[in-house]
Amino acid sequence: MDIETIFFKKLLLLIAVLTILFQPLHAQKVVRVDLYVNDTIVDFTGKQKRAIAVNGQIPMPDLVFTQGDTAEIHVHNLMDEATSLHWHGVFLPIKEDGVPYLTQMPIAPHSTHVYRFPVIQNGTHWYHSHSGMQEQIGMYGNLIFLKKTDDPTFRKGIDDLPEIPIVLSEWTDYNPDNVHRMLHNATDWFAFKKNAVQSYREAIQAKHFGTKVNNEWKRMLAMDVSDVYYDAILVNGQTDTQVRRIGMQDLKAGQKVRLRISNGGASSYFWLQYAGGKITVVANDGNDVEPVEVDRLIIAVSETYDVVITIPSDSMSHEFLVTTEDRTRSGSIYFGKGIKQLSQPLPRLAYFEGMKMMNDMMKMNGRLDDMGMNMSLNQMDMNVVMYNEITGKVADDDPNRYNANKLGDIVTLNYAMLRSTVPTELPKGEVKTLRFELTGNMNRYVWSIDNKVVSETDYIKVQKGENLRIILYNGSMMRHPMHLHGHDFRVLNGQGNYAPLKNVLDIMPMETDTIEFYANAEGDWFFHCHILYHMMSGMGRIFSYENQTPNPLIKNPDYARRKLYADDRCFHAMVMTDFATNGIDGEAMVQNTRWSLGSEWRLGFNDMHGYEVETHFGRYIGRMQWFMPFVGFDWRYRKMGMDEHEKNLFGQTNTKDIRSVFSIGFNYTLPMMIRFQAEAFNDGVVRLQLMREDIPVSKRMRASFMVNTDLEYMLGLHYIINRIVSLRAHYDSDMGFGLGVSVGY
Amino acid sequence: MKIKSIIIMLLPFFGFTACHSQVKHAKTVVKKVNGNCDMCKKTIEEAGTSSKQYQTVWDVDKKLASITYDSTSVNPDLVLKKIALSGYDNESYLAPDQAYKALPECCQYKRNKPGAVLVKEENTQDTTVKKAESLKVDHVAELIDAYIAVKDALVKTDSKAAAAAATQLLMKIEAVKTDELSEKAATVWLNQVKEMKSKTKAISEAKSIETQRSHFDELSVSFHDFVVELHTGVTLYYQHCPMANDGQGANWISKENTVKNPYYGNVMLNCGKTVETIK
Repeated sequence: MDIETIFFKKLLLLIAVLTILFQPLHAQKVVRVDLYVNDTIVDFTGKQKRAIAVNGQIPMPDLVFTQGDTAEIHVHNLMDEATSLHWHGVFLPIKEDGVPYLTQMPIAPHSTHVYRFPVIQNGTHWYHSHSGMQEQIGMYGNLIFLKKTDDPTFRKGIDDLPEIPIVLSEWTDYNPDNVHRMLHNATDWFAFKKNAVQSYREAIQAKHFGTKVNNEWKRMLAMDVSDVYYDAILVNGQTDTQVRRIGMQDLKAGQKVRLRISNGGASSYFWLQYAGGKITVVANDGNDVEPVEVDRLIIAVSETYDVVITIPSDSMSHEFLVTTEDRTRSGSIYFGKGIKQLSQPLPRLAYFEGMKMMNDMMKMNGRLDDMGMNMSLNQMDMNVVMYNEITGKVADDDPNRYNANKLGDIVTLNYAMLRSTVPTELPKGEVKTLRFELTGNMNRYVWSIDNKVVSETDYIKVQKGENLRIILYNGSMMRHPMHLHGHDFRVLNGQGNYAPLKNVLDIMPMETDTIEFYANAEGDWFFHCHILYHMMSGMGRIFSYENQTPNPLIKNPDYARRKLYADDRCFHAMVMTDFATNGIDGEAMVQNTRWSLGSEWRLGFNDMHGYEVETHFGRYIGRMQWFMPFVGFDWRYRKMGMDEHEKNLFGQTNTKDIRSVFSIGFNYTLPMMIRFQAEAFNDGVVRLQLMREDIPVSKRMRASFMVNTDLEYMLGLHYIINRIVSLRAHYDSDMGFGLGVSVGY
Repeated sequence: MKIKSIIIMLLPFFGFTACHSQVKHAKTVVKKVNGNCDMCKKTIEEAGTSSKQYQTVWDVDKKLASITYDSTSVNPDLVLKKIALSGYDNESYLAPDQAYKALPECCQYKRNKPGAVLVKEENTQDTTVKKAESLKVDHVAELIDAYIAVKDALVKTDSKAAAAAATQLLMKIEAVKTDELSEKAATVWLNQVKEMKSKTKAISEAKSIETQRSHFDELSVSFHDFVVELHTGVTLYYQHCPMANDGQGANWISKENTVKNPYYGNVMLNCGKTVETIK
């Protein structure tokens, strides 16, 4: 044998060995997926509405890859609007992250974009559109990275169970852009739909009149645990489904099933409970945790949980019930064959108990006071005061209707119960600490961090290779699921080195939580509240690595940043006008986070009643935005008639017949939500005014009043017919008594 | 004249349609719904009726519900689900146990659920095995369990149960023998046992839950001092609620890390936090 042959044989052997080594690793396996994004019409509620379907379906198809694959996803945008896809919880190069104007330009209408990234982790994740409100109308789906069977962390009895992906979501018949606008105009229409207006009449009936007065004294609108009313809850795109088999196998008694659940809802938290027994939590946000058995858990917006349930019977199916946190709607999925065993639905929230609790926690300056309770990690849920199944207070006449004590035994998951299966401590080195306070203002629907929205702040600089610790305090009145792109963080929850890894942290009002992560992924990463309407209002920050290579997909960074900031700078319009027997009253306003431009008019039907238009342009100041200085212009024309007041309270002459003046002044919201307005005109006249609109007298009845130093006054009552139309009766000192119809947008 | 007579002729028809007028595109199905009495009938029919959408009439003798529904918008299964949620098993759905138990006693019809006992069977087997293994009496473990029983009764704001559990606890305190304890634990025991006995006795005799809770606070402090010296291998959690005792705070010992507050019970069940983990 000569040397050449030996060499050749050795080479062959080497190639053979290498082939054997690499084959099971799928090292070069590229998995291609084609997604076709298109408009569609859906009917979830008996009404036909526009939605977006991908490959013809809602939710988007389940995407399954195995760790080690390279994912290659071709997105074909067939719509007339731009889109994007974000891979939630996935470690990937920044240009694949899918945030339009931050990590890439939007996928233009009728074009194709390719996302390509190696799959370097396993677990349950999901994907969704990051463009506008598309996530609300269908663009969400499950994204699963399977563990390789030879993975050292492969858990027998968990990772080899039959499994089923579940994506939860909600549906509203309103256009989500309109939902966003309505929220910014402090509509109580959603509360109306939920039967949660919490009016004075309802307060008196519930023996909580004092609570209601105290609540308004502290300048709070009726409280609720969620902002938006939804028409349907969808579990894998359906309100009610039955799973009889997984793969080709029928579900059998005693069998365990793993559910990979992601919350693809735009703004709903969901309670999960199972009629067939306990729920065992085995992973969270795509990371394994030590199995923990609970009776129920709440899944925050955009979180994922892997849970294991047992099929109790061959001849019955058991309901897995998904209920919104506000408990107005639920969706069901039944496991097994046969007659359906229902789960006990969650009782309605005791709103006035919640209001009372909120009053106790709210200081007069609008800040929250936790009474020294050091809340964290969802362990102490103040909302429990509203949960009848725990407190046992049932509005029914029969006090023994529910055995509350038994129900007090319900075990609810909280973050302190999560323990990672592997050590998660950070590499040794300096830890840089950042503190953020989550801030917000329900009345004006402004959501921010340290009272600044995304467009009002610079990017936060991060150095590659440093450890970052973030201490979050929620000083707002709502809970927020805070999501970090491109990284997992560990949540310091008392489990030491085994602190669980997450990429979404739900933080309740008054809680303080600490998270930390190793900064190892270059790029500009979004950190934001995952409630869609909070994110669009600017509740977020951007972590930007220093000295990073420019993102090739962002060719014009200045332009891109302007477009990114446009989201929370957006102005929201409202118009309300009244057509009454004594004239036409109304107002129109456009407002954004800080600025407000508004006009009010009172148009009589004759010269004697007069015509008047007042316009104000102002800026909201401070965290609670109670104070708004403005400049204005006022025009009126009137032939004096029935109600002559030539002089005002200060003895100043006020020529009402024709007046066109500039003014400066301010609005200030007083306790009881009364708006105090002081205005000085360029002719030297000063006017002080008190007014309040929308006093909730009963579920459908609202009262309003106005009185000022020009000795003008108004009293009104309106009765809500629907979202747009009300019947209104009012008495105005200028125009007398009027009956009419009020129309609002 | 003519018109009048036509109207008179039509009147019976109006009357007839009025009975069924609420439900449009009406279809009717008959389904089996369990139940006992006229009270059941009222509940079932209320749950199974929503004006204009569906109406249910239940026959007490035949246990049959006839459901009339708007076939363009309602699935009769939805009506059966509502009936089941009010507590009544039927062809398609079984009521949640809680809803069934909430029915008045006369309405608690006999249920025949198919093979739903599998999980429970497994559990009972497990406990018998455990019992067989631990025949030797462990006085300390029983003492801790007895204390936990008092705590649990207070969590449930059940004054009677708390008193009964305290009587049990008193017996368990008597049963502890210092020669079964380590030297350190025995010392603490001898120092605290008098206090523990008097507080436990006070709980067992107290009439109001408030008095029981104030004694329980003091009992827990003594108990904690003793338990930390035990090192039984069972993890216990020393928990604290800052709001109890008029804002002075109060402590208790629990076997679970999740907080279930014995000082407020249902009112502020989750108030408090673990301040020490005892192993």
